[in-house]
Amino acid sequence: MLKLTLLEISMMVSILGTFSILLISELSEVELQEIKDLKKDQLETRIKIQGKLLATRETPGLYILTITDNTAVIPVIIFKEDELELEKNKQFIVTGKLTEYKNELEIIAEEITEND
Amino acid sequence: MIEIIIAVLVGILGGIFSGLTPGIHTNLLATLLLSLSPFLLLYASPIILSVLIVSMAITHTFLNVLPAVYLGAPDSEGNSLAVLPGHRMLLQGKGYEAVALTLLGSFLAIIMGIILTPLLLKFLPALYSSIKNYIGYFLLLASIYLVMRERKKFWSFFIFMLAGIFGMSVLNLNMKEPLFPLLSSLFGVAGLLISLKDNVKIPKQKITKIKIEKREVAKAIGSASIVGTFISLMPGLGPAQAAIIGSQIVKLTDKGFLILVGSLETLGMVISFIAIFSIQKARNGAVVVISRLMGTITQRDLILFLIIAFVVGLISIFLSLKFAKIFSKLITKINYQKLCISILILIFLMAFWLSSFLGIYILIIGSFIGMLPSLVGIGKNHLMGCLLLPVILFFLL
Repeated sequence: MLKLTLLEISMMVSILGTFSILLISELSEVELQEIKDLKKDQLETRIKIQGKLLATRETPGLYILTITDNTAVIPVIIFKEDELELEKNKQFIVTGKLTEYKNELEIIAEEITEND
Repeated sequence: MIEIIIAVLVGILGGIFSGLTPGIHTNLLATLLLSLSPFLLLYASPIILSVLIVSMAITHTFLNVLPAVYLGAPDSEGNSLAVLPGHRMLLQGKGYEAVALTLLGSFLAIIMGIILTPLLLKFLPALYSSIKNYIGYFLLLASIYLVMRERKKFWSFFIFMLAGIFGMSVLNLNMKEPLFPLLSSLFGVAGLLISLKDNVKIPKQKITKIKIEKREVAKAIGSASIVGTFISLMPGLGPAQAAIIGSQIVKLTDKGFLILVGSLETLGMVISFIAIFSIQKARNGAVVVISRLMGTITQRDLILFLIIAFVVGLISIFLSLKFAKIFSKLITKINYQKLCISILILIFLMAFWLSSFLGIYILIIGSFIGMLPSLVGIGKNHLMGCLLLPVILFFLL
């Protein structure tokens, strides 16, 4: 019988496990959805939408964008890191976590790209 | 006024719960509170809810020293470099003194924070704008430094990178609350498993008064104030890394180190209140929620938060010392192994509740990664690669 130390077992599980999770995360692509189809059972999971930027406002620490895709409107939250330079009325693809605030759905943005 | 007192008391209760339970972070409770806010706002104004969060967050930074000292202690024979000063004192029967030293640090940090506030309000914006373009490089340099100071450089680099890739993959998964299984596996479960493996026997604990030179206290607090200010501007670096960097600036004994750790933790929280007001950066979950609830934060609000922090700090000291006395008595009476196992079960149930089977899977993998530093005999701080690597890449790419 092959005798393994705890260190060897930990190394194997750590490396294989990390790569399995890396693989799962690479394989799970988030699909584009219409805003009206976002449901409460998707709360706290990652979603992707596409839409036009209607307005931007801010609180200390956050920007709050309003995005619409003609099916519905949704607020998108961004944590302040750099100055926000997004032009109004342009199309953007937003990936982020769906959350709920005051009984309304909103998205905590992870990635925003302009879509021409 | 009566509302504020109630909010403070409820906040303290929440902080006791999150501080004493290993693996539960105030961020989790703050997020929970935000999701309950439509209901809560019917009964309390945003400022009252924010006071509750401030009280909870501050209480947490005082009480979380208790599980840190009393739980997860490894066997002190052998790789003594990897044993934290708090655990070392516990194994010498001085757990109570270790807690008291950390609390002293936490409390001095609040006073220091209040003294520094006018200065920080004046200089933080300039300081931040002069370093903000270099944050990624700062974090990279800090990480390289933390790896290079280790005797076993290969292992520390390997574990930093492995934890980093693990962290990035987990944060990239489409799941609920990824931070809970990520952090509690690397830092909570792994330590408990090591305690079980080593079959640790906790010696009888003595309740002793703090014996430390004033100079040592001054050195620890001075170093904490400088490092703490910088660190709270940087995402990804926590009190543990700050403590290592801080203890390089000045030479400290184990006791001085404990004061440093306590003060960095609390100072980080206090400075994050100032940072959201002066540079509009939310550096932890508690502050994110406050920013959300309040919309705008005025100087008056900030002053209220600081007063609350001071009062809650005082109360928390008495609470923590009481708990430390009880823990010191109980820890030798109860079966340490059974205690560790019950906490492990609690963490696994929480992970399942928060993030289902994927949470359990991450918890298992992370626990093995988290045991590596103790098994090869290096510091656990390299595991922070799980947050540092993604943050560095975010800033540099």
